[in-house]
Amino acid sequence: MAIALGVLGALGVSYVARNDPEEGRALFPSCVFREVTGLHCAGCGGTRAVHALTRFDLGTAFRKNPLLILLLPFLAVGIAVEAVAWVWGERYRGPRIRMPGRLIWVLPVLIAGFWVFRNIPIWPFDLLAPR
Amino acid sequence: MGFQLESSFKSMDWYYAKHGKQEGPLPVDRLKAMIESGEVAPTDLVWREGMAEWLPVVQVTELRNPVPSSAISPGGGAQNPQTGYEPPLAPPGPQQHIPNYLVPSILATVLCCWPLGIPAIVFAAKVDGLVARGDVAGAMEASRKARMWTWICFGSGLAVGLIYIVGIAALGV
Repeated sequence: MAIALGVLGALGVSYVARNDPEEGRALFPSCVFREVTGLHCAGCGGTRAVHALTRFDLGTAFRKNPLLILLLPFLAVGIAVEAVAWVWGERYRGPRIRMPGRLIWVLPVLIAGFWVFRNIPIWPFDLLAPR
Repeated sequence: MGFQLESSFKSMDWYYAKHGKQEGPLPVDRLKAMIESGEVAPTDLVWREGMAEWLPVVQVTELRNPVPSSAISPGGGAQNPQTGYEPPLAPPGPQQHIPNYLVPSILATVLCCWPLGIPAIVFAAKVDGLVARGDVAGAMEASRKARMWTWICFGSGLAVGLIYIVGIAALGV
């Protein structure tokens, strides 16, 4: 399961790296949430951001989806740590991704807030929408 | 894992200390009854094999809670109950890891573009705080819910996406 996800992830990233999502030639299913509601979700611009990242264009990546770029270091470390822990199994005693008790509310509020605010078409909120 | 902990816990014998004197061993039900009747005070120290140190009754969740929890660190039970209840020399053993599903829940939310990921993140964020407070049963519950909502988000996102693509194809592009 974990290996399948890893392979799938690697394939996905390499596909995104070789094809520009904005050219529209490659097969990129558009977000259903956007198609149906016309709104941006928290992940909108994510594919384009990853594409920009594979070109080391951090600025463009940030404009496409700032939240994803902010969370990416944590996600990357988290995935790496979980992968190591999974390989080691029960014997793993190393660090884990932890959520400090006082900061419980941060992530849900951050993601839900980002989701809502990036759909407000007024400056400065429109800066959060994929550009 | 839960089953194992539960079954080993059930057969475990408890010791308690009253007026500087150690009593026991006695089964958990008996100890709970004594706590209930006031024979063992909430501030009295209790210990069973597997616990790193003697703790007051109030701090032992499994004696308050009808649901047995694994708040007690496994493997830290080198101390012999016969030698009294001096504090242990070794720090408590590593606690059982309760996965918080923080990374999967965020990935599911962002990748699936689906608001159902928000409850997953909410529960995932709660896990470690509950562990820190010693509420292992609550942490396990939050962990379970985080996993459930992650899968609901991921599964429904995938299903809706597939239905949508099939629908588009069926209607003719």
